[in-house]
Amino acid sequence: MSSLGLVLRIAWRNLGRNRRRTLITGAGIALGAALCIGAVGILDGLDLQIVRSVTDGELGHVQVHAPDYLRSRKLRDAFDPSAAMPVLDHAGHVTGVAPRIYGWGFAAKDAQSAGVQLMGIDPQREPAVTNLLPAGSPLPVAPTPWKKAVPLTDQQRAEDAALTKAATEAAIAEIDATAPAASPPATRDETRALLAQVAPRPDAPLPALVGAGLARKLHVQAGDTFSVISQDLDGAQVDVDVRVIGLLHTSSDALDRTRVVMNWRDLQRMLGLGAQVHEIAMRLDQPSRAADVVAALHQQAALGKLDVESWTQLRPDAVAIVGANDALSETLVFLIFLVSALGVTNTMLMSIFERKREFGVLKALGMRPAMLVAMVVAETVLLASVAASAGLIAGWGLDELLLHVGLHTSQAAFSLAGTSVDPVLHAAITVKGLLMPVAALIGMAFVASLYPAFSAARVQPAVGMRDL
Amino acid sequence: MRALIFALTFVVGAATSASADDLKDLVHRADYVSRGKTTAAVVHMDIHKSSYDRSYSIVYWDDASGHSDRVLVKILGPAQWRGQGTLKTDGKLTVYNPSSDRMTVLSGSMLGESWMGSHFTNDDLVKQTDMARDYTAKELKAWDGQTAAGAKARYHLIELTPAPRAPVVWPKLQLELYVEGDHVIPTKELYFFRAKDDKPVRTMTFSDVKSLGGRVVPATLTLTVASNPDEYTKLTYDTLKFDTAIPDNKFTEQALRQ
Repeated sequence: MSSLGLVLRIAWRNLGRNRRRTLITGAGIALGAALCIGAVGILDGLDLQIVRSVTDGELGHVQVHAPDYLRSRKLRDAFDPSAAMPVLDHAGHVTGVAPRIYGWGFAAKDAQSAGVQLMGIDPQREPAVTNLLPAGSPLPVAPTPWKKAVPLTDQQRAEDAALTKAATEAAIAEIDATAPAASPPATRDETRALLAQVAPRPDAPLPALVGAGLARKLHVQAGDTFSVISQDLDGAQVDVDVRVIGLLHTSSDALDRTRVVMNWRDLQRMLGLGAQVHEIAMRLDQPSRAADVVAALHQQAALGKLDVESWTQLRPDAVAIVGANDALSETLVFLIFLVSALGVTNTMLMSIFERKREFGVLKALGMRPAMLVAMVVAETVLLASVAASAGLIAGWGLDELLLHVGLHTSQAAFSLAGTSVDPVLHAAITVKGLLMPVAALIGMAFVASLYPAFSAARVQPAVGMRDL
Repeated sequence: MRALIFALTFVVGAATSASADDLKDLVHRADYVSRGKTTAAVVHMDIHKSSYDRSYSIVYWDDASGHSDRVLVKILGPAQWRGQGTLKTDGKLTVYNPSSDRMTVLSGSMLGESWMGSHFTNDDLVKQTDMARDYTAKELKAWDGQTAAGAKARYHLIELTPAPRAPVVWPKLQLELYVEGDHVIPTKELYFFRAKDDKPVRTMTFSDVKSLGGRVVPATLTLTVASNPDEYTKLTYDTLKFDTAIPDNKFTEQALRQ
């Protein structure tokens, strides 16, 4: 028989000699492991929720923009997505691709007004990427009917120039006080006709989902209309009617107070963007693949100079929160084991003190000190392994419970790093979350056993035996 | 001899450099070069941007005689913008769009937005800071030079920093002007985004000095911005009339809609 086998056998038998002490120590270790696994599970669950809240709410996992768009947020920093879309649709791991448009405007209803962020989305594609659109959203898939703009003919242009000249002369005459203020009705009607041709208005108010906070501010509800003033790509003032077809409840108060979500085709038309978009958001089968997908897309010629970024690049704050959470869970594991380690050291020291005679006899019989050290270490590590395994099973059970029932923390959802966190925390079960505590505990037990083991090895045979 | 000439030049130079009150007066006269108690004007605005070129004919009414400044600006053409206008009364900004026949009262958040796609902001158009009242002037340098027409003139470059609690938009301005006989004509206004900046974010250049409405004024104002050096918005006065009584009904929503 090998000496290692012998040591293990002796160690195992020794553990059985004081069953009560072994059980109490083991139970402590097992409980520590189980609670630790549960706590790590909850923290991992929080991580997962933060990542989901960030990516599923609006961000998606990968986004494509025109160069510099994220820095400038300028209307004109848009791009034509026709070359990129087919490539993105067929890229590996990509499960959803959705184009988006952004603009700024000023919403007014009676005496109420507010600055608004206009967001144009594709109602068919967006649900495959985020849950930005509420389920069963009434946002129409088809754009609002809107006559095409027709440029003025040369003759019309000449007529228009004549109108401007007449208006200017009338204004000069008025300033010189040679004529009273007047705007001949004919000018207004002719202008209206020309305007309907070069800048036709939509046939109906544009349907939109309105942030709940914004709706409150404007005193509007579903079915009401309000006006939005903005500037199109050519700097012309655009003024459209918008009809509220539903309210939005996003994870951010700021968005709820400012956001108007419309059909992307309507917004493209309103802002004079043609076929251009500001953003393409994508969903992947796994958020963790974002960096790989970004690297692969950087090789695609069809994307040209477009910026492709992962959610971790776009939201470093969320990544930092997840990192802080991980550090917290590792600290927690370390603390729990520090306490366990002190307990284990104490137990083993007591046991060694009680067994001084035994060690004296063993030494007198010729057992070398190294063997004694190995024996005590083996006892501890064996105890820790068995107890931690029991703790693993109990912790796994606890995790399952926390996964399905959840931990109720507060009455309402709270916000962390600008993302909404559900009040019921659910654990996430990961291999790392299960095995890290167990491995750490066994490692700690090994370290904790060294001092008692060397104490045992230093027992003088004569002294050890004489004590009795 | 040389030393004497130098000393004399120095003394003369010191004598002609402006005192604080004179400086304030210069700033005031340059600031009000094309503004009277009331001002009525027809101007045309040429906008040159990388994405479009556009011209408007505009009529402008300003009454600064009351306790609060009132302004009405209306676009006379072309068709796509004819009838659009902005009215300022009691510090309130109302815009009118004839195509929707709607009046909208703008909030403060829209003041910084571009006015009708130009490089001017809504704020430029209607909120007129009084440079002499709201800023403290300091002369940076003075020199003898020539006007565009070739006349001799004394030039001054003046730095303006906001007076305490003055409601100003720009934390630092520099005003370049010249004095020629009785006339004080601004040549350049530099707008700085921060007081410590060395480079202005935008520059207004005054040119085409001529007689309009009984005064000598620079008839053309060109605004350029540092972020897009190739772009500009140019404002040219066609008609200017000062200090006539403008009827109160000129500054009403009815007049804006008319």
